[in-house]
Amino acid sequence: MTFGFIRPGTIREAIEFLSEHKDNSRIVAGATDVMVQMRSAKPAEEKPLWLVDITSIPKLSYVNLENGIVRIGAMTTHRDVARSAVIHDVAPFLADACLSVGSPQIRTRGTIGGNIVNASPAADSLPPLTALSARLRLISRKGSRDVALEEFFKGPYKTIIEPDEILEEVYFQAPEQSSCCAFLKLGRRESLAIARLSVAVLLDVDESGKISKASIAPGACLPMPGRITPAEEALTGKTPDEETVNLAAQEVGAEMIRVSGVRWSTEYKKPVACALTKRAIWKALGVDED
Amino acid sequence: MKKVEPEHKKLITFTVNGDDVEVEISSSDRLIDVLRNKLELTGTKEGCGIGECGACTVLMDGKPVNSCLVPAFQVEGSEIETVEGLDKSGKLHPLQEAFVEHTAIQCGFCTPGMLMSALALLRENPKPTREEVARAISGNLCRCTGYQQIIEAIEDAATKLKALE
Repeated sequence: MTFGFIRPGTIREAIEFLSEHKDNSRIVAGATDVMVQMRSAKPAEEKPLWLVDITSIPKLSYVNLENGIVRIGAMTTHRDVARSAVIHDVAPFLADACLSVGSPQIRTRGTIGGNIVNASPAADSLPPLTALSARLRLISRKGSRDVALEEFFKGPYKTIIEPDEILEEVYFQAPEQSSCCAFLKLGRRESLAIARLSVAVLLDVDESGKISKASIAPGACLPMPGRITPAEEALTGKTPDEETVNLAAQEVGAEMIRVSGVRWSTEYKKPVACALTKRAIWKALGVDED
Repeated sequence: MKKVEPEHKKLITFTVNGDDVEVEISSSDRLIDVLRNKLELTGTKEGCGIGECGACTVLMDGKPVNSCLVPAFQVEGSEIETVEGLDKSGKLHPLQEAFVEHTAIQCGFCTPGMLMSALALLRENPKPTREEVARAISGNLCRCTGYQQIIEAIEDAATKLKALE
């Protein structure tokens, strides 16, 4: 495959180029996925591919909190999200998730925008972002549009982004101060491991000790990110005790089978999904189960 | 507004171990290709070529990266540090000395990358815990040593570097 590159200095330059070359352009940011894909691609594609390098646009890298909304620029690396004081303060489970990506070297380069747009069902940042009901801002020459993260995905590695659009930022409402959260991931080993299963839990506990709001989003067991409503309902309005938490955890296992069907890995994944969810709920509540 | 045209080849400038360099790169070159083939800095090794093994680790603007995953066109204007920049006029860097003393090298293929990850850690965190050392080299595979000697060497180098201050 022959390819060339452009290094636009502004978002405008990038979207102008994309609108003219949308059939054979590919955005590259941290390149941790693109480089591997490019090098394994079959040669002899009829058209040259243009790589649009957005690392030359400094304005796309930021984390800020304003009027209760957290905004993360698409070019923000996993390293920077994991180290952001704002994220540690308002959504520490997102910092944990970004810290579990690949290795220090991958986190230096890989970006949150790339993690979203690549749309792997096992992407580490997606469960917490889903639990946070994050939204995305996409920009093209026609203007910008905002979509809910959950509506962004069509299936594994498939999204609704148009070839002439750039993901500009991901944003979400900062959870209440009274909320608590946890992210747990199981891989074959601790580093450089793609999630076999992960789960993000975000809870709000009222003064009487009851769970007033629950968000549960697993990773690597559904074709695309999503929340498990039956599990959330099992917790809402309840004082968390062993029975309630177990029930919610069972719902995650059941939903995984409803959506993904019984597969060769189900015998392992179902009890593990339940156990991981249970552990994540207790971790969010500040109870160390081990 | 300036219209940007795609390029296939480009003359880029950046620094390697503090020296300015100017290299013509093509769109398919990776940082490791530029280092090894154009600048003849063969200390940096290529293992897996897909960012899994860390053998090709170098520092880009002070942070560890897999040089096999960095497109050369993104290197323009950056500061690259490789294992060749560690020793000063023939004298090994305390990290390198510690690796030798602790037998943290067997086949040696992972060593340049290991050293660069360790260097990034110690610059940021001169007194790391054992856990922090292990995390810092978690993106570097070693199939010989079992890691214990490497971790001990980095801890020892941290102590020696601290004493040098």
